[in-house]
Amino acid sequence: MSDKPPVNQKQEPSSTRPQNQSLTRRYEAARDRSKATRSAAYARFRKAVRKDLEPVTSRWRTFRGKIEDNRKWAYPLIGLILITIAALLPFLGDWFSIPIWLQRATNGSVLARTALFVLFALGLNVVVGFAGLLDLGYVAFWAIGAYTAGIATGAHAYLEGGSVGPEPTWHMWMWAILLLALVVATLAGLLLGSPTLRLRGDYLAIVTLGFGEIIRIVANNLDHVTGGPRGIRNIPHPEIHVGGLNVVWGTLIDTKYYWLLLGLVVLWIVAIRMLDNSRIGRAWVAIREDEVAAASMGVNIVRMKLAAFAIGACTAGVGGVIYAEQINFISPPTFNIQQSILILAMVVIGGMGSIGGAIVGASAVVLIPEVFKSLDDYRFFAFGFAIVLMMIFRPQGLLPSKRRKAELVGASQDQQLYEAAGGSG
Amino acid sequence: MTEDAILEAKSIVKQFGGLTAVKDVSLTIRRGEIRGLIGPNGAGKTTFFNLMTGIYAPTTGNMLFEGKDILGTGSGLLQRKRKPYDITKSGIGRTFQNIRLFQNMTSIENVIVGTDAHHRANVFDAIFRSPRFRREEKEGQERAERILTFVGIHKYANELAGNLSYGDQRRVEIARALATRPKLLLLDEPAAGMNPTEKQRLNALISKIRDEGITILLIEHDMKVVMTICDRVAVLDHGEKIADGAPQEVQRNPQVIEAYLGAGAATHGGGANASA
Repeated sequence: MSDKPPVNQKQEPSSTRPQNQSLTRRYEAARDRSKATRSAAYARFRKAVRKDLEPVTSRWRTFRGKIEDNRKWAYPLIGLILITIAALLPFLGDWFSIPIWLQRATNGSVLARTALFVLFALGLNVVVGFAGLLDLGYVAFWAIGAYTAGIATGAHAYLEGGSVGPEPTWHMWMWAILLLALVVATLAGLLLGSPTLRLRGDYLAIVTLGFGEIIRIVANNLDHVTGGPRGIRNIPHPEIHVGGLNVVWGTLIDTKYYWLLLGLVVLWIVAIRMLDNSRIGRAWVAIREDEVAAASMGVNIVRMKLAAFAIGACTAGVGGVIYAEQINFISPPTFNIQQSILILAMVVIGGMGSIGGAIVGASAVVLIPEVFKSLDDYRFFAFGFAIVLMMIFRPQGLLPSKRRKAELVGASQDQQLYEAAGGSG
Repeated sequence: MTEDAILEAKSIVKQFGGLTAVKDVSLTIRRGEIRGLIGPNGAGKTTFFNLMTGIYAPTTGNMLFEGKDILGTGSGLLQRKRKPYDITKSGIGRTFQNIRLFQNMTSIENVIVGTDAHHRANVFDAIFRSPRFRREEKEGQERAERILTFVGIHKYANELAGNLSYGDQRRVEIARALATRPKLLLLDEPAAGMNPTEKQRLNALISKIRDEGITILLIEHDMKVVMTICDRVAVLDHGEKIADGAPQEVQRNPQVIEAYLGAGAATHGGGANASA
């Protein structure tokens, strides 16, 4: 938009531009013209704001520097503080008098929903942000997790009999089922990924899109296993009975689901950070940057992509189990394509390839409609618009990873300007 | 060739549709030598490199690396094309004609990606920081630093690769290829775009790598570089091998002079000075 230099436009006849100008000079000229086209008022405004905030930003910078110097203990400490704050959020309304919109946002079930989508966004971020694979059927793995829970608890069986029957008493199995769903979703991811990840980008998007629909339609038609359109009812809530410890999760609005999901989110953040700082994370960056070079340096491209795909799938599977156990009823229409797009929107809005971005993006997408309830019907329209705006003004997302930002902003702008200046490389 | 051959390419043919890029080329590389591969633009040199590293599959012909076929394993139904990473792991490292570094990674990260070629840590090792994982990370870090020192750019270890000068990027690329522990290193026009001083330093580096016991196959346009450091030189023209032998011999070969300078040059020009 405004960044694009107005080269070869009418106000600049080619005769005024000397042909023998050096490439660098022309590049600089194109850059200056691009700067000039930006609104001068906006520039003044930004400058003024930046000047007013200078004492704050400089102090922040020194603070950041100190944290970086002591990252060994500072990072876990900050993490611990953030987790504590997050865990205490549901009590905010009890302890302080807060406005109604904030009360809505810190309601236990809303927070649980946020945490669930944060988990999904973290998983999809590994696929889309780290490995650079466009997955448009992420909801399929959520469905697989949820249906694994529904079927493995036996909830679908007593629906089939017509009577409610005795409620399953083996609640402790819920934790085994969590592991089972993790394995099932991972296998599903590997099964879908091993033939399709050999394809190039666009084809992968189409195949995953189709897979998402296939899972939903299978669930809708496989009556005797999935309950068909009626879905599965009476999925038991989780319970823990270990020694003297007895924790029972109640109905949908129980705040304990939030803490359970928060715990999972923390586990996942740690695991993903570990992966990112390993040969696997490096391989993902290498693949994103240059696939041919990565292959020539001994990176097994298909296997690394498959790893990312499977990690994304198992995350959604685990989230699906908790979802099923909380809502206690699942049916095919829940797992539609809009959910896949919504989760993708969270990742893109937050900033691809950044863990913090996935958290911020998911929280924003879930909480903003809660805060502005009246906007609810226009949610998807608003997100579409927001994504278009983001692509133009902040392609790196709200909280981008440093590397991704360099890839998206640095490369595209410099390249555009360079080409506009007449360099072809 | 009776000597200890590290690589034998036998009658390699590569066709792209109707175009034959490589026509029945056989090439032997002896262990420990610096082998040159020269030829005018479009002669098929880089195609030959891509065939050796598994990026392309040859139409016919085969390639033995240390006596084993590197392009495919098994036969009949079990036949499987070797992937580039297989070939890298078996000991062939390479650089690219137009530098293909991971621009947004630092130099040392680039090199560590190379060291990862022989690491085996999987997803679980990484998540749980297993002893194997920690041992391999430490090994990779240390070896990457040693290699950066070896090629002489340790001071840029934490610079983004994309921000380095052209000559230094070439060095990072060589370092990255060395990190995969190659027995045979393929260098695709390493001197392109370098000034005379840089070229001299590059020559020294290539000799130093050979002294470490690594065999080198060098594609190069710069005749001075080729003539100074290569033990034997093969010449490709229009996909065919037209000469093979010691640099001085090749330089005097009328066919080579013709390929570089056009027909008639061999008779008119007294001294063969094919500096491209």
